[in-house]
Amino acid sequence: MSSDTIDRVVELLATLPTIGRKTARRLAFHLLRQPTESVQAFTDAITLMRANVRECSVCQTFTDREVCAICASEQRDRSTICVVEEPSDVMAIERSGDFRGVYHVLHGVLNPLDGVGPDDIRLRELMARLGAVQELILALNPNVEGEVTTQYIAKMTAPLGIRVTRIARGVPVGADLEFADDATLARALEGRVPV
Amino acid sequence: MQIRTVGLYDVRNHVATELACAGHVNVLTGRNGSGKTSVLESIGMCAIGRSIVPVPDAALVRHGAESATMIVTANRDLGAPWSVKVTVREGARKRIETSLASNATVRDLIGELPMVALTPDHKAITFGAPADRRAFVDAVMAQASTRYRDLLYELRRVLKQRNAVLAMQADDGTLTTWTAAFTACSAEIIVRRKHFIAELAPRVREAYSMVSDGEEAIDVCYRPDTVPDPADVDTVRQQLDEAAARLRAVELRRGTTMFGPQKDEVDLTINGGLVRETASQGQHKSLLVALKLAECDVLLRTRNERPVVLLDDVFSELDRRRIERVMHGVLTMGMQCFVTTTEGDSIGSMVPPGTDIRTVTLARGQMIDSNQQPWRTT
Repeated sequence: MSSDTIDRVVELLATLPTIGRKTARRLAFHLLRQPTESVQAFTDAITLMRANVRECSVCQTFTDREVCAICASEQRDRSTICVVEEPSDVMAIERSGDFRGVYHVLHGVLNPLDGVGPDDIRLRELMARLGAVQELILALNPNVEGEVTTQYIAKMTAPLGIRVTRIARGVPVGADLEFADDATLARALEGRVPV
Repeated sequence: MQIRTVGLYDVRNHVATELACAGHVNVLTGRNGSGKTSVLESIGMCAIGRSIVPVPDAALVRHGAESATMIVTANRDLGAPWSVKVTVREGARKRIETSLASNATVRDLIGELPMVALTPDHKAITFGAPADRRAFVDAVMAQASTRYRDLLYELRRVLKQRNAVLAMQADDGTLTTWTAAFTACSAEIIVRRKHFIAELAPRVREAYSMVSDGEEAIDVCYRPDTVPDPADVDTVRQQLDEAAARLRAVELRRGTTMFGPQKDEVDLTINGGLVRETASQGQHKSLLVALKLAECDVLLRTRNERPVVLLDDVFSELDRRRIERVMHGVLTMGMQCFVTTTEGDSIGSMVPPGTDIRTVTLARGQMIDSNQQPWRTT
């Protein structure tokens, strides 16, 4: 079997993150077996998403509007900003249902090897929002780049006298200690709290 | 740890070889190119995620095959089973499955199946550059301590990132933060190396006197870069921060990091002189064997698990007397060992009666003779 059209779809699907060539081929054949309307709805949704979704002018997360629903809400506490790496991190924290502050999405972390410096992530926009802020919560991924970006932001905001915190690192709720990896356990012990 | 079986599928010239292992000594014999070392390489791949000889992973894939698969099943010293399957494919990340995880990383593997290897390439530990001795120390420590293993990964990443900032030859405002991350993990590595070498040195001396019968004074001294006396993590970090400030201008000019644990030296001395400058060929060999026996002892004590010992082509580097001492040391500590040699009969005469020993002869990746028929090849 040979089809340039299928090959092109496979090539394009394989450019997506976490999708290898084999998975791309399965997805292409899956799409071929769907009714034309379903595939049309799928491609329309993608086209519409690309055309309409932009970055919120306040927190920089993805939204259909000028200002996202969280930033526009009167119910949210604007004196607390949670800084995250990607828009998907906003969704993850929102799922907890416990955070009532607002967010700021950096769209990346400092990564000189990939040519990402302070001017390439939304730090300038963050600094511009800090006027009435009382607490900045840094919720970046616990890897080398996330750690260094956390330290960089803490240093940058130190003269402003804002309370700067970071999320705790440790054992997941409901997990058994014996199955936690050594690095996580070490961090959990390091960040122990009095009871 | 005791390996029960080793499987090689499309590994170098092996199509499908499965072997059941003897508890003490497994001798792999055959002519050059018969596939003896491939067995040790496969065990290495399942223990530390790479071959015991310095080759790219893809070199293990049999010519004409898509991928190479290596499987080791073992029993921990307390009896629990442990298994690892590693699949290597050119141009793809190696896939690792263990008893604990279906998609493990090399990092997860290190230390689970403690292993000590002695190959002709290891001559570089006593003869070679500081990087060879650091690599030896790091390899042992990473197997002995998961915290040290994690610190090494962190150091490698932070150093690359800091060098990338320096390579721009201008500070974009982040150099201080990268430097702080670099000195923090460097300080912990340096202090841990100091304690480890202090623990290793007496064991090397003891093993050397056992191997050589010599009266030479042997020592292993840690000489960290920049830090004259690594007392504790805070002091070391302060000294590294001072070095960073002192070297800032020249580092920016040269575009690279010029201090830190990646420049440490481990001096091996004999009668007060550096081994690489003053030792005879025989003394080099004895010291290498002593270092390896000390490595066995350290791993045994820290992991509370007997390491598996791999000896590749020992007769090319060691004389009969030294090999006897190695075998004696390894068997006294109760460790399982795998030996490749072109002189198959020699090992059997070196081990005490009652030793569980198995000799297998290979030719072109296939078993042609075994004293207990434990192997199956196709």
